[in-house]
Amino acid sequence: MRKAKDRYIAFAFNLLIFALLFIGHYSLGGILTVKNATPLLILPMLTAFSMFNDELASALTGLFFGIFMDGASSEVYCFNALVLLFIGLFTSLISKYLFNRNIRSVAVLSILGNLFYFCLKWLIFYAFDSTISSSLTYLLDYAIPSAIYSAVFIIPFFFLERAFYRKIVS
Amino acid sequence: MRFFFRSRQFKIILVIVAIVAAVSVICAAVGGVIAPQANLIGTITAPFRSFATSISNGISDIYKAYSDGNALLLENAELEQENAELREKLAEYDRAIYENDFYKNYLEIKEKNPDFKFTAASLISRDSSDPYGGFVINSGSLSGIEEYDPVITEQGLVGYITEVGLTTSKVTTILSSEITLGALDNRTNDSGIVSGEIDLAKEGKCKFYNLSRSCNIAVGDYVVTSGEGIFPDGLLVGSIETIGSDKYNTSIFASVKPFVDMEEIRGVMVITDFDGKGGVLTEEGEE
Repeated sequence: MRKAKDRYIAFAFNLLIFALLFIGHYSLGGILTVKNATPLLILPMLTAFSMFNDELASALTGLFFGIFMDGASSEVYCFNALVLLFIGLFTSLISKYLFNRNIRSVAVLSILGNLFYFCLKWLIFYAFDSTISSSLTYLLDYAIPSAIYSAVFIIPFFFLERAFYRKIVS
Repeated sequence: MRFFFRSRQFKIILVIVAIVAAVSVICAAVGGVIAPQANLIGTITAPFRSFATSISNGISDIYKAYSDGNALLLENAELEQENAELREKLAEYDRAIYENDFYKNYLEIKEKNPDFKFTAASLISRDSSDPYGGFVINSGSLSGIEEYDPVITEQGLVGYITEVGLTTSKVTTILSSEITLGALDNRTNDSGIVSGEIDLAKEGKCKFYNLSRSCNIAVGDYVVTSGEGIFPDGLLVGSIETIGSDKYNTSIFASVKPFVDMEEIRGVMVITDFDGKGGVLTEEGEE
């Protein structure tokens, strides 16, 4: 009974963190922007969440906040909903069957997830821009630095999610 | 892992993916419509985002007032030391007076266009990872906004509407490479095309190109919309900052600094109707 209660509390906290990250990204602007790199904190948070939750919960969380992002971002047609669903699903699957739940694994998964998101975004929205130079500018000056910068934030999120997980398991 | 791919969970996820992908394809086919689920969530979260943005603007105002105050003190000290800088400052005032006169003319242009119908809107969220500065406003189809409606501020042209929801709309700015608009040099009437480029967007500028070799444009000239395409004529775009020619020396291009600072936008006006609405300018400049 208590375990179920802890689980709900942890889930409510997670939702609150996701919501704050979402509002922060789309309302406070580029407060964390360094040069052209703007971190998308929802991505490392989703990676950390997916490490300690099952596939369906991770996929649905990714989908849910992806839909939020689709309503607020400049990308069109469900891009975020689908990509975050895949990131949540595959992070959860890989961490469950292939990786251990430690900081090195989560760092690798976070970098891969972020690179997947930003490179896919480049491929769909910017790769076929007017010139090769401007197409590569987004990839090299915005996408890759933003992906790496976002991945740095996995560390606090990982420890937070691990604390929730240990509380529930214990 | 293969057990997962045979499980009921996987089938549920597969169904969800299929539904989202189908919605995405339908929205892409219809064009200019925010996906229904994003529209619903966008409508629900709009007040929260609007509230958070107003807090953010308040913090930004306090910071700006503080930093501007310091800057003015420094400026005054420097002005006392150097008369030359004072003269420069006076020249700047003269230019400001000239710009004010120009804006008055712009207002007159607006008064001369009774066919314009406006809808006021406020910015509710900005995608800080969008290099072109796209944003979302708090008015949508319920306020009569449609895809491709021009968006302006009192300073000049901002961009156009790319997606419309019930109570929210997405705005693509003139810094974006998606935008292509017919434009004129206000002084010489030389015509060309204004479009965005990511390299220029970094500096908050856009490109004015397809100008003939014999054109007489000069740095500081104002660029206005020509009326070709989706924008009405006479809207202020920006001022010419640099001029160059292409590598074959066949045409001239210029970088244009928009009058509107895309980072500072809080409120905009959407032109929902005007005479001649409906034209679309293609990449080649054909209507």
